[in-house]
Amino acid sequence: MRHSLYVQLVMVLFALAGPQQNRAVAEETASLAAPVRLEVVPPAVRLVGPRGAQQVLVSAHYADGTIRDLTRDALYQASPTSLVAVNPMGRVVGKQDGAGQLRIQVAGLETMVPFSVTDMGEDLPVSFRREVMPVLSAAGCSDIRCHGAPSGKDGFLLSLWGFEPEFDFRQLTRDAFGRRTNTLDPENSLIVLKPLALIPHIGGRRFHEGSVWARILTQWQAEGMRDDPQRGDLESIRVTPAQRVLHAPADSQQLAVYATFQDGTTVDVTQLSQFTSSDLGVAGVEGAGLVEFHAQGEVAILCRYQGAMVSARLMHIAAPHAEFQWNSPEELNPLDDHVFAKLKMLNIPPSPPSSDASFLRRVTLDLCGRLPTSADLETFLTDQVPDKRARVVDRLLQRPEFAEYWTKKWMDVLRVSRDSIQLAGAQAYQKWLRAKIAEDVSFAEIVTSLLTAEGESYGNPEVNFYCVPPTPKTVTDPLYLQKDLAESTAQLFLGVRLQCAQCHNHPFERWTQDDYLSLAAFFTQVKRTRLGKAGPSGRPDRRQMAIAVDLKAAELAPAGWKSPVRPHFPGEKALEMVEGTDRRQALADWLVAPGNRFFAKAVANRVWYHLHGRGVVEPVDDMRDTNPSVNDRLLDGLINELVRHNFQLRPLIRAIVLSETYQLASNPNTFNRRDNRYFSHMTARPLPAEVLLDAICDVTGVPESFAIMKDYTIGIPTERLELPLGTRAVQLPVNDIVTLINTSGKYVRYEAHPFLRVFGQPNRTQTCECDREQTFSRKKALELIVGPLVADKLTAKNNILSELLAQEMEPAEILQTLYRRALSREPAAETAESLLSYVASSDSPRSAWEDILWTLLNSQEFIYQH
Amino acid sequence: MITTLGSRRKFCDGLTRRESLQAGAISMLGGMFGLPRNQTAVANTAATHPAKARSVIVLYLLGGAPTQDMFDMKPDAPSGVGGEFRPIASNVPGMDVCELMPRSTQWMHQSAVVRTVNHKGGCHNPMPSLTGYPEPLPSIGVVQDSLPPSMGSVCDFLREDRGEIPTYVHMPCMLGWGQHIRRAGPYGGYLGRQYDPLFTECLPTSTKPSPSEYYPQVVHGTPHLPAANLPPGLTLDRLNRRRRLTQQFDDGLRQLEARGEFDRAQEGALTLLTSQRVRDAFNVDNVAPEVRDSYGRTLFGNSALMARQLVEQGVQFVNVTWDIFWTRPAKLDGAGWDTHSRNFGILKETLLPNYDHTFGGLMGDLSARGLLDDTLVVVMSDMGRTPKINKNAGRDHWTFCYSVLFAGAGVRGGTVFGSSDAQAAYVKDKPVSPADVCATIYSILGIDPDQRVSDSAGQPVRLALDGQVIEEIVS
Repeated sequence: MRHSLYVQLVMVLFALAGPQQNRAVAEETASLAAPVRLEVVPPAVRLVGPRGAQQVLVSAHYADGTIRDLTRDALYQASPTSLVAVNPMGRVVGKQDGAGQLRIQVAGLETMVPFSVTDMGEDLPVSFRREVMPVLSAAGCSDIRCHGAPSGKDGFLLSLWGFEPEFDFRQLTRDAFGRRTNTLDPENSLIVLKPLALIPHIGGRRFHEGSVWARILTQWQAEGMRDDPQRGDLESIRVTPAQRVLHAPADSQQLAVYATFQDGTTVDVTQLSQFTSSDLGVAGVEGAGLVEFHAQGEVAILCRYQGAMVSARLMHIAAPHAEFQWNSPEELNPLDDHVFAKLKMLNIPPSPPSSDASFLRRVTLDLCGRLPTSADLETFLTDQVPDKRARVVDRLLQRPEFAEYWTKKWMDVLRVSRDSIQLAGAQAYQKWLRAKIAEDVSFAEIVTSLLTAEGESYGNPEVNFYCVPPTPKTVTDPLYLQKDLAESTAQLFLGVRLQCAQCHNHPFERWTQDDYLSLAAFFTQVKRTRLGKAGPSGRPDRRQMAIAVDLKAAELAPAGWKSPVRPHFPGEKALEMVEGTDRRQALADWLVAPGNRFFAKAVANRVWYHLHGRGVVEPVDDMRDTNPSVNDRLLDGLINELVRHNFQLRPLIRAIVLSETYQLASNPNTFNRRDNRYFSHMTARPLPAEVLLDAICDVTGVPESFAIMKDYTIGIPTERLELPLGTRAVQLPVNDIVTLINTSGKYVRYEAHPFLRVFGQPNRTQTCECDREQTFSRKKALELIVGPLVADKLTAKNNILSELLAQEMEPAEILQTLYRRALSREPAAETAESLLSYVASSDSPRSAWEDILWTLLNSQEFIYQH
Repeated sequence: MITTLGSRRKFCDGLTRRESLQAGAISMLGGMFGLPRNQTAVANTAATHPAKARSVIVLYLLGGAPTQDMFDMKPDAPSGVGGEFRPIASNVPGMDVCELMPRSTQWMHQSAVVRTVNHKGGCHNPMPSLTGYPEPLPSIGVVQDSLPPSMGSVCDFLREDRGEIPTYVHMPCMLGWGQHIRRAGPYGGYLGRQYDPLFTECLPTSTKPSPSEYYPQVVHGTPHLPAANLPPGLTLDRLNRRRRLTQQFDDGLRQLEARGEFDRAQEGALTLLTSQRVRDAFNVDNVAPEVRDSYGRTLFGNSALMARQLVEQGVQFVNVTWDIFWTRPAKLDGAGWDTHSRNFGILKETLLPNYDHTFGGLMGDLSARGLLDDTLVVVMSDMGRTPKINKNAGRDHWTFCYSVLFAGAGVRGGTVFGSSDAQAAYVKDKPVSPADVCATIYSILGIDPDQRVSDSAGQPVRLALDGQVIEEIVS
């Protein structure tokens, strides 16, 4: 985005030469020249003052309902000609006072726009806040990489992205003995010479001589470098078009940004705004607000002016493949309507529905984290009732494995580890959560219990929400607990990552540092203590904890802030708190109120993510205007479903898995092969580590035995807890089950089960789904090929092979059994033949069967959910 | 020709590498975007670009090495800027190095020092140095498939004769493993994850725990192949039989992607296990003790020794990183080359003596085995360090000017390229971007930096991005 002048020039040249040429070609072939009407924004151009300027947007409407931006193709003629000038980008500037008409011609159409120029000669001083500050930000000076870095650059420090105008005013006028600015000879001031690269500047040339930006900086100094009498008078900004779909060949769009001030005036600030694209792989945006797509897709373009932000949502649809045909899939519920409408719009036909066997495998894995047994499969395939899929879903939702598996999903992000809350704490927490999920208690109620919990941690499991934030070894920030809780609450229950706002206003979002601290202020009353006698110093203090609420706690007083911070809800105005009440209750009430879309959106999106391998917003916990969902209507549909059922998860899960979208095959067709966003086919993805381990146990018939060292405070742990044989990985209370003891240093460290660690099990130190490593890799392949876990289960004396061979079954029958157990299907005839001849030709049938079972366990079809 | 429907991945459609390169070239001629036109003529000249080195070993000093205390010393700099150490003469006049690096002095006749590398990619961002991509990342711990590939991944992507020996190895562990950070940089980016490096693993130790971050210990240990041993009862013969069974197997997902993420990972793993040549190359146990001592028996030294064995067997790109080990396996070295505090103490106690030992050992061994004629050695960092010494006697992050050393095959020995100012703060003459460094490495390896590949948006991108070969240092 920040280019040297050279690059800018090259880009401008290409913008002028390249696309226009393409456009000329395209115009012939696609009869671009036949729009029905032209639409010009603004309908009348009003230029006020000596620096008044306005971006004109020319949109052509076509008979098929499509719209195309022809701003840069249009011919502009002003009459009288002496009053204004229009550049090829459609930017109008005044030359002298008067009024007239602007004739705009393009694609065989013509339209007239009235214009007026007033106060051209008026001595209107340059505004520090409205003009100088935006220039510093649009030119990149106050960027994090440049002078906006915490310690500035090259001795010159500005506030990050210009969030503190007072500070920047001092920096420009006083700091370094005022040598950066020069009222007598502004052309030779550092703030002009440096960005023009007339003297060496590490940041290179930011703009060129005679440009609007250069003139603003020069004139402001010449006028005596005054700050504005009016401060903070920006009311809002808006962007036009705020939303638009560009059908090929249309692939670019000029934006215009308007600022409205408290006095009611609205000004075009396109040239003073900064633009950022949410996905550079899809579309880029130039400094002047010109968005150019290079691939089909959607982007949000963030526009920033004076700390205010707004985003434009643009979408580009490429010309469909010559053989493309919409295949009109069946819609089973309203969710399908949303998904298929989007796919149709994008010319992506979905895959056909999955077979019964593959549906059963998929849904059993997704809901219960297990493979269907051969008996399950048999029953389902022979069942003749038309709604058997709905029936099987209802049965699966009632199974204990469902509650166990979905409890685990939440425990991963609730940071339930032995290192944080001890084994006893984790077991109690797991039991509590599992009971709630088994009863399908409203998720709003569960979260309220967590947020308002009090008491000691083993008997009141919900307080563990407050116990998991780690205590730093040396406390440098006394507010560490409140900040951690604000961040985790936001990420888990609002779907928002507030971390950036700890140090500065969020760069790509409306969240401010004030929002961050005000959320933290809800947790000032939380008092955390450790119970019992502490262990020796220098080792992690692993003890039971207790959470109490101190209603008289002092207000949050962050270092460097003039006054204490009072609580208020993110993005809302300050809140009147009743003194002496538990603030966490107020937070919980606000959070789970049906009108609060944040919570419902965060929960619904996460549920969808677990069932599809990808969120409607991705990453699931990073929702912001600049990270738009791939299907807003789908997300709304999911939210409505959740709210309608009072935040119970089961009805939502049921609706999702019984949609046609969920039931689509994972095999792509010619047209949707490259789609990995819009749910045109089921995403094939590796099974989660725990599910894979359990599946290996189930297929081989050899359960894994798990043991955990018990809690201890002093010395090194000695007691072991043997979990009952048959305990599945999904049921483990913690992920850090392995205890490593360094006897020389008397140091104890916890780690994940080796197999689960290789397969990317999260260590539960983060409130982020991203903590789980999900891609298949060489390392994982090695573990399955030669790793001890698989090797031991293949050769175990009492495994499935022993059982089948002891029954003296026919080889074909053994093969069929193994296929059903591992893949929920029959072998293909040809494969069966070659595998059976492999067994027949082997000296040792047992070892031949081990090889075949190994092959099944090492197949992608077994390792992946699909 | 290449259509993308919001997809970020390329080349999973069965196109060969050569076809994709051609496709890139064709789409480029038919109305390409954003690339200067005079470059369109020079695409696809790989075959005619002569290689001056067969392999490269990168010694990567993570954290930002203070090269003004190593290769670009400023003994006359004012106090508060100038370092505590004195330069000593090397075997090339004018190429003085730090007094703590006596072994390096013996190799300057085969080395070129580029003193003006700079970038604006932000702090601790390994992307510029490993890929040439100069933009700051939203987070250095986020590995994005839409970003440009590392040099090693490009080598792997372009390799036509895919034998049993891997092309690209990164040692001693996944970059950032010891801090629980998956640092961006050494990955396949938009070429695809199948071009990620083969990461070795290690379980490093130190004689005693590090008392605090800025008192790092010498890190010992040896990298090893993941899953280096076959389980009991599994012979190589039997493993090969199983491999053949896999090929006959009716995998319902195989049609999904032709040689996608899964197949590539599985085949790579099987090859590692079944090739004795590969397993021997990753084992330094049988190396003569005096050779092992010449490298230094540190994790860095053992990695460099293994790197020599790997290039001997035909691995093209080896990265030997001096990584940081702090959150795992234990508190051993929390600073690496990121010397915010006690810069000079750490350099003197651990960094420079051990670096110099290993560098000298590697160069000597490569030379003795005749490998220096076709092996390029590059010493580089993610960035440099501030000229100004802070109140903790440390140097902070600095990306505006630092040095990179090239040695061995393809290098015009005894060369200094560019100059920094009196404080080694800024470039005085001939600035060099990390992309230029990449272009130079590509060129020495016989890879035409002008070649184009398709990025995640299907647009042709020059391999070396906007980097130009530093012809003055190439022999």
